[in-house]
Amino acid sequence: MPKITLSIPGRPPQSVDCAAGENLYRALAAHHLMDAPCGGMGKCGKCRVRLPEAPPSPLAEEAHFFTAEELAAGWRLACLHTVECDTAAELPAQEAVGDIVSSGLTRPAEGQPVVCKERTAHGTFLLRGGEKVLTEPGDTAARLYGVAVDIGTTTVVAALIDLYTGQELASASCINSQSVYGQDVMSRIQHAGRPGGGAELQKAVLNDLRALLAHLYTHSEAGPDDVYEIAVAANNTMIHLLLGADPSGMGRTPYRPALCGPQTRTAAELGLPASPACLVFCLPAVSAFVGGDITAGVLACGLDRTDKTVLFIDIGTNGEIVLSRGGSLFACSCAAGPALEGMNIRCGMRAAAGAVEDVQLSERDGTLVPALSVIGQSAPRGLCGSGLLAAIAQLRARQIIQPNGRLGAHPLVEIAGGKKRVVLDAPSGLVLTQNDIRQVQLAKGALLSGIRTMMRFAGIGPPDIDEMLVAGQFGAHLKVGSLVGAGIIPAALGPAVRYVGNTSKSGAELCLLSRDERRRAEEIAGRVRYVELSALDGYEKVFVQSMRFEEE
Amino acid sequence: MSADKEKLLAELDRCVVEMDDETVAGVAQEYVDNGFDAYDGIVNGLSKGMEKAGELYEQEEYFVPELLICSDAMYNGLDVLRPHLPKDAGHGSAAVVIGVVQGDTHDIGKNLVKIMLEAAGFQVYDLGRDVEPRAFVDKAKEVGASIICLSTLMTTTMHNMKTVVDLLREEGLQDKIKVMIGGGPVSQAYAAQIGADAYTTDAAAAAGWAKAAAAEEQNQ
Repeated sequence: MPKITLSIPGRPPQSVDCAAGENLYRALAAHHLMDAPCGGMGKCGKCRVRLPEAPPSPLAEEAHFFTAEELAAGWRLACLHTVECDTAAELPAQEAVGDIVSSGLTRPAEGQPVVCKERTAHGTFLLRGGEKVLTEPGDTAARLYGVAVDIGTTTVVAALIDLYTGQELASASCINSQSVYGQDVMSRIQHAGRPGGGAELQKAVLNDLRALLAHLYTHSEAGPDDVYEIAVAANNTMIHLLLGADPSGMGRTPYRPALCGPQTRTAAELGLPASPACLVFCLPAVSAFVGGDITAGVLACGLDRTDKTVLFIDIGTNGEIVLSRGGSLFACSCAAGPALEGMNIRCGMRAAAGAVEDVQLSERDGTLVPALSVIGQSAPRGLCGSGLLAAIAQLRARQIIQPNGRLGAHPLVEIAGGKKRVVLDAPSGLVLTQNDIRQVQLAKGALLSGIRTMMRFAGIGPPDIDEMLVAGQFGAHLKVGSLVGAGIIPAALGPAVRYVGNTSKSGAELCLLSRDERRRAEEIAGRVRYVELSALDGYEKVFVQSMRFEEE
Repeated sequence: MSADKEKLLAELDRCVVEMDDETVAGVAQEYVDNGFDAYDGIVNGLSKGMEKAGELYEQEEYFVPELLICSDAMYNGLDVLRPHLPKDAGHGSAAVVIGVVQGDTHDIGKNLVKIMLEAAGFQVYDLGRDVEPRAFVDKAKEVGASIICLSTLMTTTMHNMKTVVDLLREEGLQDKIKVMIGGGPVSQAYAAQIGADAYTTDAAAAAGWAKAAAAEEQNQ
């Protein structure tokens, strides 16, 4: 069995075994040493590895990701090579993961609790919907807890809630361990279709949940026996994988999920440490790509009962948009792609130490100089989504990027290998290329065309919108100036922007606390009118127009 | 060639590459009113402009929106010139079958490739989106196409590209009909893995590869 001996900056040497002929990326990913956004398809260039001893001949696509010097030094993409014999490998410094946004806008839960306790002479009864479901010896009436869970494609957040007070007593988060199988839902659906793939994915997320629950139990007064309800909000693919359902129907037109409506399982059948009477409730989805996480957001923000006209957006590889107007709810999902998360971007990286999170262009002695804010105050290593959008907004404001996305002639713009780029930091080689701008145009085209389509369905324009709610992990880090400046949202909506954070978890909390909130979530999921953009006549035109950087 | 003809050809070319989709029909009309050859107008006027647009795309000067407006101009010109082509025109131009594979409905990339292939003089049979594997093979056999172009945006539907390649192999057509793939999740490595003949990154590169493949076939 070949052994891979690894050196990773800042870490003790280690080695892992793998089968002869195994893909190097898969071997490393299995030990959580790597996770590539594309899931190991030679597309994203994020599985860099140096093979100092007799490296294999470089492949054509590796020329896109490495300079000739790097290739000569043995740098390769792990996913394109297999391990045949004992190998030494050097990995780049690991990206620590930035803060996970765990709290979100919410409101007090209304209506009847899901579970309650009754103290009697014969012990303490647990009642669910008025029915006795468990008898505990002695007096345990004071101990009644639940756990609200948000499973994102990238991160998982869990919070321990006192079911009497609704108070959050502890929370914990982690990276979704399914990430090694690809970062977007499509890669996960594809992996689920491989033999044993679905089981692997289910095991990965259940392990994450067990670890988070264990953390909550050690950091609070509650133990497993005190938890009677778990409520989960997540996108529809995550719910299918969690429950072991087949997600393949969502991977092809007409994008049909296998599960429909709210789902309930026992904690015992999922192997989650909790009371024997504990049930796991999963919020219902609107459609394949507008999941229970969005239902939760609509519920937490009260979009179903507002008098205002509100646009809600969760920006990610898939951007989900909901528009509430005069009692009508419209929703769509936009294939924004992973550019905003650093994939397909020359110097792209995730929001981690060394990532440029903000860019300001300022005049110094008559020349324009980019000033960079770097996460962790270290030397810049790359651009994360917020830095990428900030750079584009700044360059656009100075007309260096033209309305059609082209880089114009300017001292900041240089030509390398016949292609234009902007040097953001010469010492570290940090550049923004013309192609990077094109990738952002595709993402922006998808999101803005979604917003425009929602407005069209409601028969309104940007000035009619009272509030623009930005939810989710990724959006929380984007400044209004960047969202507007990079043309992701119409300029008129800038002043209406409000960040609402992790409303997926907020909605799960509400469903943990009240039966009526669950009913309301179900009603929302049934009421939202889902619009499939790719099936709309004339959508291509809206998408293409939305790629332009211009004021409405 | 008369100075007038040359001037009008240059103007057709300019209208396309400069996205002048309103003027182009008038220029094309003037061109046919002068009795100039429609086929020449397409090849040395409109298509030439579209090819220049493709070059600008490859140089990253133009992007999807520009390419689409250029193609609007090209098609506006074609609408005027086509009725003046002799009946047998189009004979001899190589046929290509194109579509988005089964399960996927995202077709903007496919449409761009189709435009560039038409500009390059191919007879393009567009099967649309969500096309079952067998339909590609059947159509290619029916029209005598030597190239099948497959597109998808989704990881989950890529495997249908392999199905098409496998079908061709089963029928012993793999040397006669070449397969080119493209789209977000696919790569050179994937093309090699499934035995497709080519992977191209964009519409201009796709047309370039198709032309080279067609030329090679003619030389054989």
